[in-house]
Amino acid sequence: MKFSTCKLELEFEFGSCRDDYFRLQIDNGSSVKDVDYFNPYYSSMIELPTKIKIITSGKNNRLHTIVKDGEIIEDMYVKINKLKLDGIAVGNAFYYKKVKLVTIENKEHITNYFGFNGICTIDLNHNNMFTQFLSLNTDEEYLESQRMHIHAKAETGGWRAPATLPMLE
Amino acid sequence: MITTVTCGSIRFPNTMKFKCFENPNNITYDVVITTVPYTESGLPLMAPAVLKPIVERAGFSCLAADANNEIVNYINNHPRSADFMTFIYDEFLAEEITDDLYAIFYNMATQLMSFKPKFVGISLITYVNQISAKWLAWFVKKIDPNVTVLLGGPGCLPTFTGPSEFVDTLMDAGFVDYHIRGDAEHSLYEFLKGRRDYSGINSLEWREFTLEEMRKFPMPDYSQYNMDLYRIPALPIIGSRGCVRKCKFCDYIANWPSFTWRTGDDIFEEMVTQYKLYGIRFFKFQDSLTNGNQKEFEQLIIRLAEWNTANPDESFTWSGYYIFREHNAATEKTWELVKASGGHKLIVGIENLNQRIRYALGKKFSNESIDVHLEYGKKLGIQFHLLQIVGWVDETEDEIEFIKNWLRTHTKYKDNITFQWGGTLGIFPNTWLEQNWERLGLIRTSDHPQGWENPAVDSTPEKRARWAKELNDLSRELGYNVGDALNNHFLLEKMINNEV
Repeated sequence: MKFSTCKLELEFEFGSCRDDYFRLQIDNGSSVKDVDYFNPYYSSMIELPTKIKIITSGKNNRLHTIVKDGEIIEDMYVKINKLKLDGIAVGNAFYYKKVKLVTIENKEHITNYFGFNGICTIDLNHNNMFTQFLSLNTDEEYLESQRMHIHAKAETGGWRAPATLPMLE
Repeated sequence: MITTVTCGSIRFPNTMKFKCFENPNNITYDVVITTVPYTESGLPLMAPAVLKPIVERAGFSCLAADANNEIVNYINNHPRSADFMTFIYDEFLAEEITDDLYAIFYNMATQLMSFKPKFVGISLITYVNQISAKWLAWFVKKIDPNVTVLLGGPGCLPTFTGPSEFVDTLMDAGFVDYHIRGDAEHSLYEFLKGRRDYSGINSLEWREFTLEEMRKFPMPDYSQYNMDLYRIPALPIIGSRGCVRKCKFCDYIANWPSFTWRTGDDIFEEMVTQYKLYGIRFFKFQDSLTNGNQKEFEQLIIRLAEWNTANPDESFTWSGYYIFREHNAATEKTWELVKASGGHKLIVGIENLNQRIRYALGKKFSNESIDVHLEYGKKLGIQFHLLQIVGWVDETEDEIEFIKNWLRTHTKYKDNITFQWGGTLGIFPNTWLEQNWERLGLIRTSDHPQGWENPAVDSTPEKRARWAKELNDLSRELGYNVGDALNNHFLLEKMINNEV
């Protein structure tokens, strides 16, 4: 189906420590590609559903995180700044709430700022780009709070069923 | 996990099919022009019908479709209608409507593309149409990357003027090829004739058409609209562009600085012709005011009154935007003519029931004149839909109390009035308000038009939304009709929860 094929683009930001950068590899299920500081972009045609793995490596925490007076003053990191499907970037909820890095020590960090060696898996489990994009774009917490609010209003009569609303004639 | 639910006789998820895109005989059209959701109206949206004869005049065949109406009907009957609003406004997906939402866009695009068009025009009335337009364009381009997709209408921008980040993003992504800005009656014609550099095509500037041009445009062609699908069987009509007033909040006049009008005789002839074609005798004027040019308006209502007297079984009724002026000796005669002409419901931008505020925003008619006009309306059985702006820049709690008292003391008009309290004052680019932002001491709190505060009177979006809700509730309690819409309700809820 045509609607299951789309162009995936990822835009990264690399931060160095002692002039070293993360090694970053993207595995789209059929090929693995390196992305680096000099060209921090990834682009690939994908067929949904699929999984995208972002693999970070090369960081030695003792060398690549500099702490002074209890504060990190220099850190090696890589950050996902943008994910686009067919040229359209998903919204902030994705970067802040849906990106999870599992470190080699098997610790989970929900963040788009990767400061550890590990794997981030983006599960694109829809069979079409339309609902896949919406799913990535959705802030479930907000959606649920909105629903609870509407539900509470409906119970107290504050929210009327739309079919009964008079409309501008 | 997708949940199946039943509402009435309809089982959801289902596979919504569009009547406006039915194509059992595999007909082809060069151009398909359609509306997209979400515009809550029981009336036909007129842009595709206006542009169809323009396209045909340029030598192309055209299908004019109003897909919005079918989708709005579907959503409003859906047990999870509120979930669709989070898609429309926020581009979010509630899992339970995944299949339904996909079916809407899949069917809309595949049925539309069954006509094998070379050009697909998507009409956006408000910014609320943007997310739907984006996804329809994406589906269309997936089906045929060679089809040319055009977007047009004021909804391409969050406001009427300036660059459109929305369109630019879609053009960069390759979903959309051309953006037609401003009135498309002349620019779409020129586009189809191959003049892709014409003013208004992929350009910030566009040209208002002249009085003469306006009077030469063909009549809208509603022949492909299925009138049985509309809650209100009425034909939209346009008698003017622009406005005679210069209200401080208005961005419409920033886009249409000139006021152009058709003659009363010309409008009347169109009404008679459309009636003979479609058998519909209720007309809805879609311009910003019916009585901007008083002389032509008077001629129109005289002709209509004469028609209604001579043809009592085929009498016309109409509704439209109307401006109140200060009352005078001619007021009674005008109202009698409005009634005799079939004036049924007049939508009046009162804006605020406080005279001080109304004068300040640019509408200089007194509270006394409002009472006089309402009295004639009551006497003659004319309905008023009164548009209100809650939360003028320096409106105070006391002034909200004044409005509440007004409502309590004017209940004798409740059967003639529908209040529309709206989503509170939004400040839009190129308006007087926006140009005087600093002088007014306002602070921007978000990019949303309603996202502003006035520390001098402690006016915040949450407070103004609360006022709007209180006025909504009180007017409803007092027995007034209150116009409401799902999308407006959604917006107020967001504001009250400090989510704007």
